[in-house]
This record gives sequence, C-alpha cells and structure tokens, in this order.
Amino acid sequence: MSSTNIQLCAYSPWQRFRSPFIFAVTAVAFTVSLFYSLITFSQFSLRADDLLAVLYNYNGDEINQQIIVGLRLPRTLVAILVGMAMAIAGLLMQGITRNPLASPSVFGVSAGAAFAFAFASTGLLPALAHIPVLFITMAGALISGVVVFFLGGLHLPQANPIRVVLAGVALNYLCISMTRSAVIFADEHAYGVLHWLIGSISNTRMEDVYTMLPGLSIGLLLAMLLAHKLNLMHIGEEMMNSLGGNAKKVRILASIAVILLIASAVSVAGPVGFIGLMIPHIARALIGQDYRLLVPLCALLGATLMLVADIFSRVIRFPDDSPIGIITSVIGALFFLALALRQVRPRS
Amino acid sequence: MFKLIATCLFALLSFNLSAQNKVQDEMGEFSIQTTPKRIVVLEFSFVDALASLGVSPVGVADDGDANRVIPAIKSKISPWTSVGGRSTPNLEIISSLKPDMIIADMERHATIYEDLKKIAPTLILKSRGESYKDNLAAVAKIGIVLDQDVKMQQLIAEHNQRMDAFAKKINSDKKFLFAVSSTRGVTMHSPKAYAGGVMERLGLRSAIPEETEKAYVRTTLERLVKANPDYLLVGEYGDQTAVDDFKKSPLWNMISSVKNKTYLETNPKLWSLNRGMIAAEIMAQELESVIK
Amino acid sequence: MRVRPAFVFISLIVLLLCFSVWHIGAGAIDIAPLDVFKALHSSDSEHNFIVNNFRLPRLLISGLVGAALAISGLLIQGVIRNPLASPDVLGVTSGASLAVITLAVFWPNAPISYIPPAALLGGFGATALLLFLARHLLQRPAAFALVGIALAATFGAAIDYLLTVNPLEINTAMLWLTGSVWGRNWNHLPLIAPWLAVLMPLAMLLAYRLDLLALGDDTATSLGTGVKKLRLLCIVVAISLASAAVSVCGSIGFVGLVSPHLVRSLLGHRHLLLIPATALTGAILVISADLFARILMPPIELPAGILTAFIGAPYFIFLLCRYKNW
Repeated sequence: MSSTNIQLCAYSPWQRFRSPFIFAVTAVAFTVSLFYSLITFSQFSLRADDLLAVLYNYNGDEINQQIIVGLRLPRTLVAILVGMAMAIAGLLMQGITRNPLASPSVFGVSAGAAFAFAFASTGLLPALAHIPVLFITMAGALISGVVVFFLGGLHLPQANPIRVVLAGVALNYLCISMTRSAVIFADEHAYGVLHWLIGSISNTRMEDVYTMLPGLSIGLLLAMLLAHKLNLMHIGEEMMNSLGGNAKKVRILASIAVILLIASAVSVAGPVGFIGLMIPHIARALIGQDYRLLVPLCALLGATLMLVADIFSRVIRFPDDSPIGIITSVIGALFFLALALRQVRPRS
Repeated sequence: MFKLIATCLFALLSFNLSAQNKVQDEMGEFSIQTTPKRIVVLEFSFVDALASLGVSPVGVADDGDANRVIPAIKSKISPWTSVGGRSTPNLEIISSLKPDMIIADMERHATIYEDLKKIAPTLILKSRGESYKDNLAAVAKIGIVLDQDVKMQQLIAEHNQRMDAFAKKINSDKKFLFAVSSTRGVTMHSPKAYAGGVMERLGLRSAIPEETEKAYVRTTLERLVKANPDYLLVGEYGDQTAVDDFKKSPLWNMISSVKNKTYLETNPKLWSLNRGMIAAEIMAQELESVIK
Repeated sequence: MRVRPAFVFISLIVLLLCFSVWHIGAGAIDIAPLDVFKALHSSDSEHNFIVNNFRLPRLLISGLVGAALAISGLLIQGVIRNPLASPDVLGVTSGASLAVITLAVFWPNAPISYIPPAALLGGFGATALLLFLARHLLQRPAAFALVGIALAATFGAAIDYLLTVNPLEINTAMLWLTGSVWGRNWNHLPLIAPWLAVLMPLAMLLAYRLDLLALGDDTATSLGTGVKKLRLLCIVVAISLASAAVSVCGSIGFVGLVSPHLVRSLLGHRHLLLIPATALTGAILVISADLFARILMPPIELPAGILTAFIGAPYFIFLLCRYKNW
C-alpha cells in the first residue's frame, strides 16, 4: 500500500471508464441481491408479481404483500444500512490508523458496543432501561474505542501496527467474557449467550430502520466530507499539514463518525462481524485509493454483501433462520487469515 | 405398551424373588436393594413423578428458586433443599443431604455420573428434551425403583383415563401451537417437545407437523405467520420479551389465533419446565378452557 | 518496584496456602479451618467425604491448570516479546474448543472421556497449522502473533457456525468448554499433572536461554543461542501446557495473560525465577476464581472462567496503561 498507486490524477481511456463501470456492475449486483433478498427463501411462495403489486397496487389484506412490506422490507433495509455502516466504519478506521487490519470487529469496538447493549438488556441497572439503546451502544463503542486507541499505541508516532490488533483482541476477549457474565448473572440460560455475541437481523422491524437512520446519516455525511482530507492524509501527514489540513481534526471527526456508525449498526443488529474489514480492501482493489469514490463504493458493496449474507443465512438451515453474523464471520475470518498472511509475507 | 407391561411383569417377578428393584436406565441396568427414602432429583420432571406418589424429595436442583416448581406440585410435597442450578448442580450440597438415591437427567448430568454414584445410587433418565411418551416411561421406572410399582401403574392408568376424557371433551380439528418467548427470541415447541406431546395426546393437531426431528424450533415472525396456528399459547420468561416485538407488527394480527382472540399468554413454568402427569392435566384443563 | 525474590516467593506460597485452606473450607457447606485439617487426614470426620471427593481434587486441578496456563503465557510472551500475547491469542484455546464442539456435533454419542483427548488434539492441530502457516515468521514475533490471531478468529467463526446449525445437542460439550472446574474429580488429575511434571522442568532448563533472548536477537545469536530452535521449542512447550489445561477445564481466560505481568513487575526479567513464581501466581488466580465461583451465589455455581476475567481484566488494563515502549 504505497502512495505510488494513487490514481487521483491518472488519465487513460480505461481509467476514465473504470470507475463508472465498477459502480455500474456493483449496482447491478446490489439490485439483484436486493430482489432475491426480498422474495426468496420464504415459506410463503412469494413471487415477483407480489413485489410489483406492493409497488403499484398495494393491498394490506393480501398476506404475501404484508410479508414483503411488514417483514422482508425492514429486514432488507436493515441489512443494507448495517452493511453500509460497518463498511464505512471500517474504511474510516483503516484511513485514520493507516492500518490495513483496522475494523470494528478486529479492534474490539463492536464487541464493546455489544457488551453495553447486552448489559443494558439484562436489567441489572434499571436506570439504563430509560436511555435509548443507541446512546448505550455509543457509550460502549466510545469506551472500547478509546481503550483500544491508547492500549494499541495509536497516539504514539511510531507504533507497531500489530500492537493495536493485539490490544483489540484482548479487548474483544474481555468484552465477550463480560457479556457472558452479564447474561449469567441476569438469568438462568447461562449457556445460550451466543445470541449476544453474533449479529442477527432475523427479527427486525421498521422501527429499527428509524433507530439507525440518524446515526448512519451523520456518519455517512461526515465520511463524504472527510474524503478529500483522507486522500491527503494517505499521501502523508506532513504533506497534509503543509497543505493546510489539520490531521488531528480529521482524526477526531472521523472517529466520531466511526463511533456513530458502529453504535447504530450494533444497536439494531448486534456485532455483525468482519464486514468492515473485508469491504474496504475489496473496494480498494477495485477502484484505487480515492476516498471520494471509496466511500460510496464501500457503502454499496457493504450493503450488497449483507444482502447476500442475509440470503445465505436463510438458506443454510431452511426453513429455519440463522443469525446473519454466522455467515459474515465465516467468510470474514477466512478473509482476515488471508489478509494477515499477505500482510506478513516476507518482502523481497 | 407391550414393552411397558413386560417391564412391569419383569419388575414384579424380580420383586417376588428378592428385595431388589431393577430397571434399565440410560446408563445400563440400575438396581437398588432397599426402598429409597431420601431422594435428590436434578430435574423438575422427576419432582412431578415423586409428587404423584406423595413422596417428597429432600433436594431439588431448582436453579435456586423454589417457585419454579408450580404450586400444584409444590403443595403435594414438603419443602426441600435447593441443590443449585440444573446444569451445574452443587455436588457438595447433594452429598451433605445424605441421599439414598439420586435421579438425574441423561443430557445434563451424564458428565457427573461417576461423582453422583459415589454419593448414592443414581438413576439416569431422560428429562431434558423428553417427549410426552418418554416422560411416562421414566415415571414408570421411578415407580419401580421406589417399590411402588403397582401404585404408579394405577396412577398412570388414572392419568390416561383423565387425558382420554379431556381428549373427548376438547375434540377440535384446529391447529395448536405452544411457544416460549424470552428476550432473545421465540421458540416453538414441536410435537416432539413435551407440550407438543400433550397436545398430540389430546388429539390436537400441531401447527408445525413437519418438525419431526427437533423438539424446539427458533422462529421468526414470518415462520410463525406461516405456521398460522388457530390456537397460540405463549409462555413468557420476563415482562418484555421477543413476542412483544412481534405484536407491534401488522402481520401479528394476521395470525388466525390472534384474529380469533384465541391467543393465550400462559405460564412457561407449567408448560415447559414442570413436565409430568400433574402438569399435563393442568395443561389439558387450560386448553379446555381456552377452546371455544 | 523490585522486591527481594525470597520475599516474593514466601508471600506467594503463604498466599497460596491461605487460599487453599479457604478453598477447601468455604462453599455451600462451610467447614472451619481446623476441621479442614482434621478432614484431610482422618477418615471418620463428617466432612471427609466432601473434602476428599470434591474440594481437594478441584483445588489440585485448579492449581495445576492455573500453573500450566501461567507458564504457557510467560513462555509465549517471552518468545513473542509482546505483553499482550497469550495462549488464547495464538489460537490454542479456540483450536481445542473447535475439536470438542466438532466431536459433540458429529459424534453425539461419544463417551465423555473422549473430550479431553479431543481438546488436546485440537490444541496441537491448531499449533501445527499455525507453525505451518507462519513457518517463515519465527524471526518476526509480532507477525507470528498476527497469524495466530487470524487463525483463532477462523476457529471461532467455525465454532459459532457449528453451534448455530446444531443448537441443542451441545450441552455437555458447552459445559466442558465454559472454563469451569465444576464436576472435575480425581480422574481428571492425570490429564494435567504429568504434563506439568515434565514440561515445567523443561521450561526451567530453557530459562537461561530465554533470558538471552530478551536481550534481542542479535545479542542472542552472537552468544550462540539457536534463536529459531529456541523459539520453536518454547512455543511447543507453551502450547502443550495450554492444551493440557484447556482439555481439563475449558478456556479459563486471562491467567496466561496476567500472571506473567504481575510477577515480572515484582521480580524483573530473570526467567529462572519467573517460571516458578508465575506458576504460583497462576495457581492462586485459578484457585481463587474457583473459590469465588462457588461462594458468590450458593448453591448456584458460576463458571470459573468468568471469575478469572473479572479478577484479571481490571488488573490487566491497569498494567497496560503503565507500559510505555513496545
């Protein structure tokens, strides 16, 4: 990841059409998975006609249409929003830490948010019941983010990039143990805690979409606004400061966006793993280093991946639903392994 | 049935030959020389069986909460000592109670079988995930080892008569479903689960007859709407559980049970924890009262 | 803060003894300290049965498991030269857990006695895979750890997948893996004791060479230590100890992470002293965790693994804040 492969000013016929082409292909993939996510693998025989009927001729008494509007649509929307949030959070994290392994799950930030969520739901502190869930997960994400920042040495000028991964893993482990114990102290289902540790969107409603929207829109907006600054930062911090940019300010703003994005995703879907790690790498491989393109592409790719994962989560044990986090973590963990191996490959 | 009678005959014969009671349990052959007086049980279904015979256990793995045993059973027996959670019962307390027999569950307690045997003769039976028929078979075995085989057979026969009477009275061709709901989700009980088995015994149709393998099925609202039970009974663990989220969706009102106002919130302790003849009859009563 | 070694050892041993007596005395049934000693050597004491059948084996197993995990953590941190490294980080624990869950899912009727060897096999399998994938990386400890982390994440995802697809048939295996000493008895002692008896002296033999390693690779090589071989040997010893511990008690976290730190802050960096002191600290940690697991909410038993997290985690964070340059 040297600064030489930056394609800000590249100009060739292919370069000119490359980005629109990639966006077009991704958009098609997105639409196809959106379509399949809405109407396939249901015990009801939903058809494309039902989807059209919902759009043009909605009848609230028709059960197939109700299923699409009342269950599939919120679920699909949440998948899209969570995918966007996690992917952009990962992109920003990788941008400001310049660590290719940075992501909500590897750094333990989503585990922190999930712990806060689980702790509040156990009712051990009744006062927490009156605080909106978004604020609770934000507090969790913020605390674990700050802890991992300092433990991982991100405030130091020269730190081993693997140090922060180790800090994240330790934090992750800590949060998982605490989530377990919170659930065990609260009730008797001591061994059924998997639910809090894996993200799931099986039972989402339209309200969940509204819960996510504010945090997600602010986060997205911030990411778009910071895109240019992140490009400068990628070239080098000194260059950036000399060009009148303020690296510190960019970092703080991006961190706020990251916290908002992760918190809104976790408060609805739980800690869905590895989207934030995978998507930015795929996007960079496709389109290069320009953050002004990377932000929208990551959003689109993240949403697509979540939709595909959602379809798979219904396929693997049809007609039973599985948590979507299972699918993303199986794919993501292998991706992580491959990435780690590439990262440490002896450079010749 | 033949098997049952054969077991009983065998038990009666062996009773006549010696003072030793033998049954086949999940670990092989279980035999006991004397009639046990101090019994520790590690699952709720065994409490029901003992209570039917009027025997009070000295210790129960009640998860530290005596109220998990339903009043109908609790009133039949004297107070017991809690021996901790069902998944990790406290061996020290069990041994300090100096029991002369322990009844444990195959699935949960096979790991500590050796430890339990050191304390007292241990009968390992099916309890967790058992079906209605498994339960009756286990109850009959408990009758044999307690030297009350004849009485237990009589109790089972009476229970069968009452259940037949209920079945006759209820006589519905509608689809029934029992589910439990916690903060983590809603789980349907198939005919393989105890509550499903009781419904089957009463001649009621299950809303999920296709689930023949699994006893408990995690469900989404979509699947529940598809199952579309005419009578839906939900046992809630807690005040605010997953089913309350389901209720906020317009689709909830499309479930036939909700439409016909035959949706019932019931006690999960009765329907899912306290498996046994006493509980089954109360369940039958509840079903009878809800059916129009 | 350096303290005289003799003082450290004496206090650790005293602490261990205190906790041991407390461990045997306290629980759902309380036994006065004097009765504890009586129960230990006379068979007609009323508490003899509880002490000899439940508390004594649990005490010994917790102690040995704690010692094994702690030494394992010390060796791994010594080799990787990173205070955040531990057996969990290298994927040993999750490899062992994956093996147990796989056994439970695909062979549900397997006898319970198959679980420890399966866990051991899983731990070694995970290590073999790690050593294969990271075979070029023995000279670059941090990179080595990274591959371990990624491997652990992969095993973790596989475990979650298996548990979701086969939800109900996992009770026994789950209980085994929650990091608990509940239900462990004399039969489990041979699963851990021989490992420790063989590997702890071996670790002591390695101690001098490990000290050289701490000086940096260049110095160590010039002093004639086969750095690569030493690293490999240490990792194999460490991982054997951790696998043995996991095969008995499941994953008990933070012991391998915290104990070495605590001891290093007291004794400095001489491994010859560190190894026995770390073993003692690990033993104290797990014994106290098992003690609190039994006495916090009687008659309910909590998993000891959660208690070690509660004891270990705050201390761990406190320690990390004090670390500066690494």
